[in-house]
Amino acid sequence: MGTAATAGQQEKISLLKVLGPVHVWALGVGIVLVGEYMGWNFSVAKGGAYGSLIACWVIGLLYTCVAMIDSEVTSTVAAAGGQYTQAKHIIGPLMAFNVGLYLVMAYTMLEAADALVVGDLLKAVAAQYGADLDPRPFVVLTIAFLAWLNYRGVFMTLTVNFVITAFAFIAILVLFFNASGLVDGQSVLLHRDLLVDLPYGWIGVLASLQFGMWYYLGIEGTCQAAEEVRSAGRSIPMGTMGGMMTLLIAASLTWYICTGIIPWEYLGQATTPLYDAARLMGSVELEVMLFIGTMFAAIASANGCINDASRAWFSMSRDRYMPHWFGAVHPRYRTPYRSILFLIPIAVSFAFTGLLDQVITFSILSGLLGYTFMSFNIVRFRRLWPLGSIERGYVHPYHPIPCIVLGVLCSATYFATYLGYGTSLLSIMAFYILVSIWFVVRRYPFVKRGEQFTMPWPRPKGY
Amino acid sequence: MDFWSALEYGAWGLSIVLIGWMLVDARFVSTTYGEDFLLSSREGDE
Amino acid sequence: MSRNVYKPPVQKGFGQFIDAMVVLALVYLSLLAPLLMGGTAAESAATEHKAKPTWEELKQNDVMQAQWEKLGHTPETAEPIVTKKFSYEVEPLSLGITIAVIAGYFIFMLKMSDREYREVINERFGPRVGKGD
Repeated sequence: MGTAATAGQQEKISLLKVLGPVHVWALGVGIVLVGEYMGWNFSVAKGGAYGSLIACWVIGLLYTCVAMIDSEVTSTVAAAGGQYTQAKHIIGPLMAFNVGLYLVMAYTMLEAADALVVGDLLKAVAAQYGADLDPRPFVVLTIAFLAWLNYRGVFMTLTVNFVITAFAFIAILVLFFNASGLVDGQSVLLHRDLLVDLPYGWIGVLASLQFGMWYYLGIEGTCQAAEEVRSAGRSIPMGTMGGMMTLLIAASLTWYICTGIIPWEYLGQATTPLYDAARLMGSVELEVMLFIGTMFAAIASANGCINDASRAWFSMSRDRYMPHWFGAVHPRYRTPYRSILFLIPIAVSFAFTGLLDQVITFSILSGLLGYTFMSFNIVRFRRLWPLGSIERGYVHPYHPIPCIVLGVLCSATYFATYLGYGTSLLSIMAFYILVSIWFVVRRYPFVKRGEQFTMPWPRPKGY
Repeated sequence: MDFWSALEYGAWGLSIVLIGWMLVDARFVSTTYGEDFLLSSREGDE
Repeated sequence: MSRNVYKPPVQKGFGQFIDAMVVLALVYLSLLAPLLMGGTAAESAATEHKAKPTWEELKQNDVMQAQWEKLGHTPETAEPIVTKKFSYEVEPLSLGITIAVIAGYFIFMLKMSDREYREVINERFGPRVGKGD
C-alpha cells in the first residue's frame, strides 16, 4: 500500500535482479561444499564409518525435506530475507526476528570458520618450505576480499562462486574416478579391510547426526537470493533441488573415497580428509588438485555466507527489526553495502576468539533451529492460505509427510547435539531466549506493524 | 625480510586497502545521496 | 484502513548503534558461557598408556597399519588418536532440562508471535468483520 502513496514523490532504489538458476546453485552448493572437504568426518569419530554413512543419508533426507518445503514457500515469498520474510508473513514478528538471527549467526560464524581454514592451509604450505607463517593476515584478507567482492555487486560475486564451486566439485569427481579404478581399472580402495563395525553401537550413530549436517549445512541459503534472481518462482526451486542432488552425490562419493583409503580413527580427527585421501594415492597432480579444491571450497563458502548473512541483516533492518541504518542499498552497485561492511569486523572477531568449537556449534544449532521452524511453518502456510487461494510457483508433493519427517529428524539432531555439546546447547538457547525478550521489549516498538506484511496475498484464513 | 614475511605484510596491507576503500566509498555515498533515498528499498517491490 | 495505525518512534543514530552492540555482546557472552561453566566436549580422559604400543595392541590390521604409516604415523603417535573415545552418557535431569528449554522457547515464541501477528493482520487488512473467510 505504501508504494502507491510514495511513488510520485520520491525515486526508489532496490537490489538488482540479475541472477539465474546457475547463480542460485553456486550460492547453495558453494556454501556447503566445504563440508565435504572437511568437517563431515567428525561424524566418523562420533559413530564410526558406517555411522557416518547412515548420518549422511538420514541427514540427506532431512535436507531433501528442507529443500522441498523451502522451495514451495520461497517460490511464493520472493524477498531477500528468505526464511526471515517467510516467518514474518506466516508465523509472526518474534519468530521472524529469531529466524533472521539464525541466518545471520549461522552464516557469519561459518564464514569465520571458512576463513580460518584458508589461513591454516597457507600455513601448512609454508611449513612444507620450512617457514612459520602467521595465518591471521590471510584470514583477514579472505574476509576483506570477499566482502569487497560482495560490496561491488552480486552478479560478479556469484559468478566467481560458480567457477570455484564447480572446480571443487569436479575435483571430488576426478578423485573418485581415479580411486575407484574406473579410469585405469585399478582400484586403490580398501573398504574390505578398513571398515569396522559400529564402535559405539547405535547411540554413536545418533551422535554422528550432529556432524552429518556438515554434508549439507547451508543449502537453504539459496532463498536469500530471491530478491535478486530474474524469475524467483522458477530459479529458486531449480537451483535448490539441483544443488541438493549435487550434494547428495558429492557426500556419498566423499564418504566412499575417504573410508576406502583412510583408517576410521584417523579420518575422525583429520583436518582435511579429502586432501589426505589424495595424498595417500601418491599422485602429485591429484594432491595439488585437491589442495586447490579445498581452498576454493572454503573461499566459495565464505563468499556465499557473506552474501546470505548480509541479506538477512539487511532485510531485518529494512523492517527496523534491527537498526534502520543497515537497510541502505548502494546506489551504484545495488548491494546492501552497510550490512556487508558491518559484518566484516564481526566475522573477523569470531575467527580470532579461539573458540572454534563453540562457534561451529553455534552455527550448526542456529541452522537446526531454522529447520525446526520450517517444519511447522509449512503446516501453517498451507492452513492460512490453502492451495488455490494464492499462486504458488511450486507445490511440494506428499504433504504433510516431509514436514513430519523433518520434525522427527530435527529432534534426533537436537539429541545428538545434547550428547556432544550439552552445555553449549543450553548457552546458545539462553542467547536466543534473552535476545527474544530484548526484541519484544526494546526493538519491536520501532517496527511499523501493518507495513511489514508486503505480499499481495488475501487475509490469512482464521485471522 | 624473507618471502613469507613479505607475504604476511602484503596480506595485511591489501586487507587495509580493501576495507579502507569500502569505508571511503560508503562515506562518499552517504554524503552524495540523501539518506531517505538510500533507505528507500522496500520488500516486495518490483 | 488508516484508523488505528501504529506510529513507531524514529530511532536516533546513537540508539541504533547501542542496539547493534547489545546483540553482539549477547552473542559473545553465550560463546564464552560454556567455557566459564567448564567443559564443552564430551570426551573421556585418555586411557593410561603402557610404554611402546604396537599396531596389534591398537587393533589395526595390516592394511590399516600400512595406511597409518603412509600418513606419517607410528604406533606411538597414533595411539592417542585411536584410544580417544567419546562417552555418551544420558543424564535424565540434564536431558529433561534441555528438552524443557527448547520446547519452552518455541512455545513462548509461537504464543508471542501470534499476538503480534494478529496486530499486523488487523492493521494491514483492517479489523476483522464477522463474515469469516
